[in-house]
Amino acid sequence: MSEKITLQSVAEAFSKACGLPKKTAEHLARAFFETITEKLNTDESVKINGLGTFKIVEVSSRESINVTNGERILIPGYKKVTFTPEDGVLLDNVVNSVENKEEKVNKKEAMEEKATIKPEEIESAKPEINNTEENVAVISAVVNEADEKVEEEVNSVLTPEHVEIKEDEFSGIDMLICTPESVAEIKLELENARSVAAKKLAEAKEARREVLRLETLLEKMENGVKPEAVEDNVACTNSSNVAASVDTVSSGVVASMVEEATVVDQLACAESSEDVSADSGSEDNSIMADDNKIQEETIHVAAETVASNNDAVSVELPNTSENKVEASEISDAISEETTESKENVESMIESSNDGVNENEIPDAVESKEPVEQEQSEGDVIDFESNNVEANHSDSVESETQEKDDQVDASNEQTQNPDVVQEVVTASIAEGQPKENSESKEEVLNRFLSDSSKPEPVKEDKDYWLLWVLLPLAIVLIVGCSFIAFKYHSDKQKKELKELPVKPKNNVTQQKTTTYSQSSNVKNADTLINNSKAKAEEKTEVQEQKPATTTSISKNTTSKTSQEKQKTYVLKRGETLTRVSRKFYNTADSVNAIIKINKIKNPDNVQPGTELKLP
Amino acid sequence: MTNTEFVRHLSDKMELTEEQTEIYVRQFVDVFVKEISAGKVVSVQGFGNFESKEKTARKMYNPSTKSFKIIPKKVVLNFKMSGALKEKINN
Repeated sequence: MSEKITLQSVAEAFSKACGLPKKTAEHLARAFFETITEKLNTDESVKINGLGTFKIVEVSSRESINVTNGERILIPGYKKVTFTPEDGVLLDNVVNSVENKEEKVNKKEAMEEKATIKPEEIESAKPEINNTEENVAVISAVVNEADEKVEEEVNSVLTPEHVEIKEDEFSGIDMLICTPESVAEIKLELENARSVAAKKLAEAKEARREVLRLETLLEKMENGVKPEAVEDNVACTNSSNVAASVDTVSSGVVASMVEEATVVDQLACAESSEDVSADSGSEDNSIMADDNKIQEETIHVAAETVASNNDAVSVELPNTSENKVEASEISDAISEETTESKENVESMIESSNDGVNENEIPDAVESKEPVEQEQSEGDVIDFESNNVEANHSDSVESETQEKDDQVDASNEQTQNPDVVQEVVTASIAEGQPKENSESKEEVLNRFLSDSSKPEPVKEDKDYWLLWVLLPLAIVLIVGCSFIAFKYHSDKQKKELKELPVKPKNNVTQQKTTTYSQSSNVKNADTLINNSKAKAEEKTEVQEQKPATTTSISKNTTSKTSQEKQKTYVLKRGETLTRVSRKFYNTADSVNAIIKINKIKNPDNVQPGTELKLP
Repeated sequence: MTNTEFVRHLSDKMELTEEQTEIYVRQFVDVFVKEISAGKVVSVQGFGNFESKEKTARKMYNPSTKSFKIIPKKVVLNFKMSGALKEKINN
């Protein structure tokens, strides 16, 4: 390979070059390197122009392992001479251009590889996005399925469609009772409530606020009945032209009830019903009806006449004794007033029916709109709770009885669609008297007897128990849902709650409102059970997700603990050499510790750092 | 230690003037390097071996500019001290 020459041959060449004798040249050459060694001992670095720098570097002692025994050996430290050539010394400027070109080609290839990698990365990133989209789709599908199930359940429990429509009509009656002032206030509250509800997704919050709103509405409705008597004309004229003819507040209610009946038929039916009512006074209801008769004045009569005007007057007579008695009173006053109001009432009824069915609100029936919307927005629980609360708090007041009666009547309507209209009229007529001293049970008994059901008394008892139990169950459900929502509100709201919760609420709200008004007590029980089940499912779903996350975190911690086999936490004032002495009785394994822990600056290791021990 | 100090020290040893020794040293170094660059290994007894070594071209990545740079191959003067020098230094 390379020829090896001694310093002597170099000295010969040197002597030839500068004309010095060989001996002096050799002497000079030796002296040259001797001085270097001497100076290295003293100064540790010698620089020679045109050649480079000689430097002494200290090599620290290190630990090694004897390959044969596996024992640890300490290689002692020593000094060595390093030489760094001067720039340009021996530099072959003849650089192979060919090799450079090859390397350039390699460089281009490397760049191309990078370029190719980029799209791959993008593609790899896409499936992740798809996965997320798929997840969203799956979640939405699950939500839709749940909604469909709810709908099926509701449909199975619900009575035929026309019953629902009648229930809506009753809701319209409640609206008509309101005075224009109360309606305006309610509208404002509704608008505020809608905005708030749209913003807040949590069901529990919405439910509680809606409960409060409904309570306020009930109070206003209750309060509104009294002022209506004074303001009847104004309210009636605003809401319906029929009101002008009727003096009392009941006219509004009556107007809503009149919907289906024609005026001419109403008069005739009223007359016929009067006779029958007198005959049927012997029945249980007749006693109560007698009390009502005394208390009820022309207002009640007008309402009853309108009610009795409903299509099937002949069928009504045998079933409802109260209606007949009331109808007799009504017929006197109605004969004058009804003719004028019939046309207006019919138009109002049609509009109200349309609005109820299609949720479209005609301009003339503005008063009905807000109430309907509130009911649709409010959960079933809320509506029922309001009624229950009204029963408890305002049991003495006849106004609450009126509302309860209406609800009861609606419930009974579902049972007997044919007799529904009659029952409704009876309920209204009974509810209207403010001074009614009759207890609620009596009223309920009347309705039950009117509806001709086989087991009226038992259902009444169950009914009151339910009224007591319902609020408790409702409070529990609302509380559970509220807590669950609060718990996981931050993280899981965006994906899960927004999609599933909103549609569920809407569906349940709309259906449940129709339910509560129309369905029987049994239906109400089923509804409560359904709502409970839904709430439980939601809470379960919400609880499962955090559990999974915690489990994942636990796994990660366990992995990390497994990795830390032999570690030592550096204490304050401790050095790596002390650590190595502590564990290996020598300060020479410091380098190994530094290497394993990848410590950049071994002179500055912060206390508390975990050191892996080799 | 700079070159001048080295030359002064050498001049004292060789009993020559500094200027003359400087000229000699420069000539000696030129000859010395020429011999090595010719591909010969110069072994200095009691000091070490001087050798020319070829460093292959390599790719360098500049992280700040994120660009690759090719460092061409070059020949480097390499020195390896002898055991005698090691003993001298360490004792």
